[in-house]
Amino acid sequence: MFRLALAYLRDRSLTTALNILLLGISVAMLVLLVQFGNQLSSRLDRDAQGVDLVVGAKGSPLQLILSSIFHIDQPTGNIPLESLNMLRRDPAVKAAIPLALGDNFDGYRIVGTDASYAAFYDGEIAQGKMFEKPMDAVLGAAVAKTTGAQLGQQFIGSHGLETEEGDGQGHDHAPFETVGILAPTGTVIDRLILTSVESVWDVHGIEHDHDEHEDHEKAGHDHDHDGGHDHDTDDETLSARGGLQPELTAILVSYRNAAGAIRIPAMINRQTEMQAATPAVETARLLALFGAGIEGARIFAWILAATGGLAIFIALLNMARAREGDLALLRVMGASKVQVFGTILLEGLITATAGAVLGIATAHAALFVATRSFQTLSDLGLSATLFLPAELGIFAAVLLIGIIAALIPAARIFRINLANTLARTS
Amino acid sequence: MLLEIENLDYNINEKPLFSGFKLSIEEQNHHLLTGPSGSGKTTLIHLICGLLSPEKGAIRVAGHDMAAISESGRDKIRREHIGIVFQTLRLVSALDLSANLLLAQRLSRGTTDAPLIASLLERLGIAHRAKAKPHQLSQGEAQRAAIARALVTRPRLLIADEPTSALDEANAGQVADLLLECAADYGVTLLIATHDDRLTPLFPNRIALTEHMLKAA
Repeated sequence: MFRLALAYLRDRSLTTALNILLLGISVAMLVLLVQFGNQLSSRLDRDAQGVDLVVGAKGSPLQLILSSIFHIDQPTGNIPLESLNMLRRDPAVKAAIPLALGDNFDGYRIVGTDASYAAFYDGEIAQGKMFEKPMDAVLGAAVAKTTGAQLGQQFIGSHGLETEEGDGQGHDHAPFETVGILAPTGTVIDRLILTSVESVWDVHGIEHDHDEHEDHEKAGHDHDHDGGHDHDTDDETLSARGGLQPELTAILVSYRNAAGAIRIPAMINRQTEMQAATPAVETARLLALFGAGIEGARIFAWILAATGGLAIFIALLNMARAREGDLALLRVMGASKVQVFGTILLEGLITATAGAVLGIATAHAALFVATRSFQTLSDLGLSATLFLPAELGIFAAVLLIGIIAALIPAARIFRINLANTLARTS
Repeated sequence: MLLEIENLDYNINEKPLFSGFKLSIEEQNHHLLTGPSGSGKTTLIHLICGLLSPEKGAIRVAGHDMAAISESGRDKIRREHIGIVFQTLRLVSALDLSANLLLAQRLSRGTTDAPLIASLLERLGIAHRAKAKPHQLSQGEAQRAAIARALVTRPRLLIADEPTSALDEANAGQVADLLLECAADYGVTLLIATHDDRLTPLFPNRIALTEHMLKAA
């Protein structure tokens, strides 16, 4: 009977293809929405986990979060180096991690920070060692995999978040050297290149003394540069002497206790030239922004799926009417009512299964293409190979639609008066 | 006795069509069932095949009383003992000829017998059309295909309802000859309902139904 159902579907292949397509489009939309919503939300949660506050230059708090935690936007500006010490001295602060941003290599952001940043995301060294001296670089797992970089390899950063051909902003006077590669963590640091804050200053010709930096474990020493290379001055300020001051882009803060959550953001926002943004709030705002759109699209997709079900219903109903003689002949040939009923039901089920499989495959193929075509999606960590339990739910729901759509046409077989039908059609 | 009908009563719209109707057909004793339109040929066939239930009487096919058993029981008797050929409803439209015959075997016997299918198609002269869809067959080919479909399950009784009425002279003669030859080859008893006079000389036995007369000749 399965072969017969397939034969009937093949017999009206255009209608079958259209029905499969209708269901396929709706399933693809639903899967993409589920994937996007789920992966985005879990990615945001994972990347922001443990970061209670981000302190950065005034501007859009969402931009500050996007640039400092998720590394998918430009920074809002720079903040004084002293702010790091100020935060670290605060008893309510458990950890304050400095970030100095501005450059990238091959599209992967170079982050000037300290070793605690990798530890914050449970980043472990897979090869080599953690950066120690300026221009040492540790590559995230995805960076190493994509670029094929090995230990000891040197590379030159470019200004900005993305590298463009011939942008002429390469810092070729100050190459980084790969000293370590991190094990995969499934977080944002997989796609980052970590180095010391001093490296970022050095690359941009910013005079600094390690005494200025909070990390007094290292011996203070000066890095003198000629300052003659090209660099953007967006994220560096000129001192009164005309030189560039060592600054930070942002500081990731985690509180020691709940009191910090009440006092520190208010203090930063009111008493300094900086802003404090709470990742939980901004992430929720971001998801709410996406959420309305996602919900609308989800409703549309289910309407489309219902339309697909209706199309199957109409096709099968018309078929059952047009095929009354055939169905009667099957009965005469010895098929039971249940067998003929099952054949029609199978047609609905096969159509729905094909639509669901097509939709899921299309959605994952689209994710695959999209993550390779759009850097932002790739940066968000969207994976084409991750299958979610919700997809199984969509699959089952679409099969149910197929069965329900086929039920009424199939049930006609129980109402057919065989003798009358044969008298009319034979 | 292959087919035995006793005291059959059957009404249509509360008007009696058959009343105390009797009929008996022995194995290999082919019969023509004749009569004008509306005389009840098709109804009688449907009653014999178990597609209709009589008000009264017994219809025994190979010893099984079709009138006394359930619908699924009638389906089973029909599946096992009866092959039916119609005037125009010949094959399942979505399947090619060969697949139709395989399906018929599978539905009837639960298994398939490819050599029998091949020999039948060869015997009926349509082996070269085995992969053709029903709509690709000519009228003559399609009716031969319908005979193949009915015979492929090795029935004991083959009932044909107007098998030649839609065919031209040449095809009608061919189909009638093939029915008789195959019946002899495969040990099948024929009951042919027709008002096609071209068949009358070919069959020695005739059951004539007359309109409103309600009795067998």
